[in-house]
Amino acid sequence: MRVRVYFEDTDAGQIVYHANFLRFMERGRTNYLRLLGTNQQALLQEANDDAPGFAFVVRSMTIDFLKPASLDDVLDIITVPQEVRGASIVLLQECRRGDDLLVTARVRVAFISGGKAQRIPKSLRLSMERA
Amino acid sequence: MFSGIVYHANYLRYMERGRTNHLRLMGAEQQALFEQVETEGAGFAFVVRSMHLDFLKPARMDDVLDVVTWPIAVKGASIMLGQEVRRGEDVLVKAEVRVAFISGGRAQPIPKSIRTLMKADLIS
Repeated sequence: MRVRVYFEDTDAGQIVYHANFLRFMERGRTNYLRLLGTNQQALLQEANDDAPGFAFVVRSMTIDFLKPASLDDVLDIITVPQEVRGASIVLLQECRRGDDLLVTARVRVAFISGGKAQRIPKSLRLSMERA
Repeated sequence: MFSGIVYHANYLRYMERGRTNHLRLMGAEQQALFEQVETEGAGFAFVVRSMHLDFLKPARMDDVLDVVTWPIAVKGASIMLGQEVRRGEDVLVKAEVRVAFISGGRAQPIPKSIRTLMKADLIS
């Protein structure tokens, strides 16, 4: 997924404010889920039937800020599942500008439904394991 | 959908304020220090190099949160800080944050005066 750096994403040092990378990463994760959904339209519907009003919430992250991003940069957000467990997933994410690796993150997200942590429906889990 | 809980990236803003305040409190204790550093390394800043975050419990609208900041390790060019976001006794978010000292757009050794001051706060 590509994002362009706008003025509102930057800080007083005219580089992307560190917390804003987390917003880019979130968009990357949402997009990753959406892409899973377009591959398998029925899948997310099925997950929703199994676990109404489901959501993924961030449990923990480790982030390395290697290089700064600046105004007008076009960044690629890459999201890859590293580990799919019963109730949580570990995703690896990278923010790149061309060949330059700017930020890396390891993000653990948990599956929530009805306000509680739940097991991830099998159909969803399998498609992530395949991805 | 309105959930009334704090968006995860916003804790980073709270924690940044906590770090800024931590520095300000150090400066209030030793006013001359920061002026000295300012003249030595014109336009210095601390930048975040890496973070580890655990989101343990959600914070909700109207909550009053405490952000607690303490140094864990003080090295030549970077500092490891521990931070917690708490609501009363409840720890909601735990973080370890590595910040580097930047001056003139580059990583630099932290001026000794600041390093000594931060080391004084180390809980060993």
